[in-house]
Amino acid sequence: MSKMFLQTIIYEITYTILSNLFIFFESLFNLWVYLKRKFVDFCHAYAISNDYEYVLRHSQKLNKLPTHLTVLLGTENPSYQDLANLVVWSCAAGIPFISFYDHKGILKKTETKLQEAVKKKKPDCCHVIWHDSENSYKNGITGRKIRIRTLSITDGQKSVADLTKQLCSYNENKIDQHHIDSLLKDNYVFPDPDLGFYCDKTFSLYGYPPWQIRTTEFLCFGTHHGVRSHTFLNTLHRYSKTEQRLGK
Amino acid sequence: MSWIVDNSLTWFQKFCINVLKCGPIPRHVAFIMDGNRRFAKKIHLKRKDGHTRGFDKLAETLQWCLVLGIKEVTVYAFSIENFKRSSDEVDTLMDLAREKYKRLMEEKDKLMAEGVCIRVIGNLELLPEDIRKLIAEAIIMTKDNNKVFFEYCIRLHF
Repeated sequence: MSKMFLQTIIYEITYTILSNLFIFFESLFNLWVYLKRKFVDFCHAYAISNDYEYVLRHSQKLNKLPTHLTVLLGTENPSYQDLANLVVWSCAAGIPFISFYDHKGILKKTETKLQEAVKKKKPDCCHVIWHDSENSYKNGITGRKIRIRTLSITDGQKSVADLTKQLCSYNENKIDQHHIDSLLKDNYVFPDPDLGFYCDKTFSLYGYPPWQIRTTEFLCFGTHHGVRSHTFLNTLHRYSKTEQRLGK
Repeated sequence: MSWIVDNSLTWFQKFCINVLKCGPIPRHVAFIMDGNRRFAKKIHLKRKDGHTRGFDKLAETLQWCLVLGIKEVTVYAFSIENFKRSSDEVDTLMDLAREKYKRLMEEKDKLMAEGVCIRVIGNLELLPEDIRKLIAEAIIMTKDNNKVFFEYCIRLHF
């Protein structure tokens, strides 16, 4: 009995020591990454005078661009200026659809603030079409256009649960993949995202709509607070190098 | 190679496991099995052997999960896309599945002792009837176990 007790004490002590060492070195590493990022941002601030032109020029060299880019804010609170920058840069790169997922629902409630920020930042050649607005079905727009929407947790796993309840109440006999796909698409509207950006260090979906992300490539691009255009481009570049085998 | 591999960990590995168990252990881990053919090509084996080795590594991984105290393990194995591969390869995969499920039945005492509940999720209609029978046997036999859950997913197509 006392041998087991001694063993338990040894395991606990070893765990505590290793855990604390890990936290210490991880903090040092995070500090190094933070300083490196600040330095690179500082250098780029001198080199890039116009972010829009910079993204426009360099994105043409990429051999693969996403049709729909979705951004997961994770634990971060929305910074409207930075999100507006992402919209403008995505427009410059020629990405037709962009969505922002804030599981806390803050972004969805304060969408007008984001709309104002985007309006101020976007160049005239860029047309932004907001989901659920009167502009939704405007045709005949020349120049670059980008469709944008915000998502929260009610659009996520909850929508699948609600759909299941709906199907039960209708006494549906024929429930198959295509049926569910079309019903969920009515709610989600946008095409399935090819590329997802996440901001936190640990990747978690926080209840993002699970059905639509079957083949989405998720890449970390760091905090969206103060994000720079070169970080955005670098992540797009990483995406363009990925290969999806899809079960071949 | 059996499903519940007898404890073949070194003392150092057992020590590390016991230390890790002092901290948080995930309750549910999912594995996506991929790269059997690439592995076979890399070490110059036949594709069939790549699949066998993949399966053996899966059994080893399940043992580690059991020892670590992970309560639920989900494995994504077959994709419907796999059925579009050459019929030789598909036959190989089916034979492998048959062999492994038969071994599973032979080790049912160990499974019941460990309290493993086996579930299979996905579109089973595309599998041959004898394999579906074997799967049904495994599910029915272990349905009342509740210590560890093992889910085997036949992946839907993209």
